[in-house]
Amino acid sequence: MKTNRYLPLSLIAAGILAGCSTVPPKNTALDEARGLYSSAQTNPQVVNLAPVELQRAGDTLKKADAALAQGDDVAVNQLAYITTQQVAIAQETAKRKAAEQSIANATTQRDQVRLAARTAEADAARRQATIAQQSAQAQAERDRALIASRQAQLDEARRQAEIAQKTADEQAAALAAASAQAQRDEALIAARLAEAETARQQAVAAQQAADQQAAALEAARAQAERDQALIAQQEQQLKELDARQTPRGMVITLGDVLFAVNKAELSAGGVRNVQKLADFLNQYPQRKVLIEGHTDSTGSRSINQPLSEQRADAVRSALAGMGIAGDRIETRGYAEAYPVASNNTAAGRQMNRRVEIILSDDQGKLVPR
Amino acid sequence: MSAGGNQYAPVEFRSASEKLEAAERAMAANDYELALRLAEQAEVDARLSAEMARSAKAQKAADALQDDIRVLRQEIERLSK
Repeated sequence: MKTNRYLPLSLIAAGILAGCSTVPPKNTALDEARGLYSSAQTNPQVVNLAPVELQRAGDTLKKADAALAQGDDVAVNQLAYITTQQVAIAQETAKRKAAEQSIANATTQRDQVRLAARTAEADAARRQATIAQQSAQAQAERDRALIASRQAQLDEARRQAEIAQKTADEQAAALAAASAQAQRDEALIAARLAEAETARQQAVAAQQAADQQAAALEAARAQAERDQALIAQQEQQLKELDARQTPRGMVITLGDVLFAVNKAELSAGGVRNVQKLADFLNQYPQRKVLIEGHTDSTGSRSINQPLSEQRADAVRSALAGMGIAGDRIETRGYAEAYPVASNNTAAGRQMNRRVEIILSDDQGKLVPR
Repeated sequence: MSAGGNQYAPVEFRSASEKLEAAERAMAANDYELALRLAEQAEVDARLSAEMARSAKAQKAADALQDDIRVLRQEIERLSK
């Protein structure tokens, strides 16, 4: 430190001053002390915080100046040294007080900062709690989402299982339906086979019936042909008998000329005609005949009535003689009651003298007048 | 020296001690004028030494406080993040 240096320097300066007493008094140690004091005076910290100590140094500096004026070099050096040290004390005092003020301020500041720190700590804790809560909420959200996802997966799996089950059911139902269908088909086929067999048998029967019908038809046709031939033959025979169709049936007229004049005997021609009739009746045994005798209006009733009867009987006798049974023959005598022409002319009267033979139908039925 | 001058201002403290011893020797040699001057210098050196020690202690305490504050501010800064 300077202090150790000052003492010998002061002693040297004192020696110089002692040697030159006429020059203005001068002391190097004192100058240095004055410089230090002046410097301290311009330091606001020292002026404000250590005014008493600075004043003490200033007082000592004045004593040093007084001693210098008196030429007491030893006292000047002593007082300069003390001034230097007192300035240093003032500076240290100012520094100490500044530090103490700083401590006071800093204590307050530290308390505030501590409070702020605690607040920050609390805030941080609150933030941590909030973050933790948010994190927990987020985790809960994620858990919920995960659960929902799992639930959806479960639902999907369940749905798939249901679909699979449904498909299996449908396939089973389809199989059952197919089996039932097959059974129905088998039954249907059996029924169809039975029906086919029935139809086949019916067809055989129908064929047989058709054959029979065809045979019957053929027989009927043959019969019809035969009947036709018979009818034709019958018609031919009737035509040969000069039979004519009337409302009473077929009528054959035997003319007057076939009898002897006013007699009941058949002439040869008459017999021939009757023979034809007998042949016809022999061929158709179901037929019967009604024989009617007629006269003209000439002559008396007593003559004409018996004559008409006798002529009818003559024909019956002839037929009987030709093998025709008596129950197939009826006779009537009508005299002049049913003329077919006028009795006023000879031709008319000849036409009225006649025998009419009425043929029954195939059932032997006759239509009387 | 209870002010801790030997720890915080060892040069001044030693100077004061040496001058005090020198003053005692001057006393023993009956040089009272020198003994007075040395005693006066020892006193002012000792006062300076004590004041330097107090100042240093105070400064150290203030620095410690500032350190505390700085640490706390860092903590706040860290907590606020």
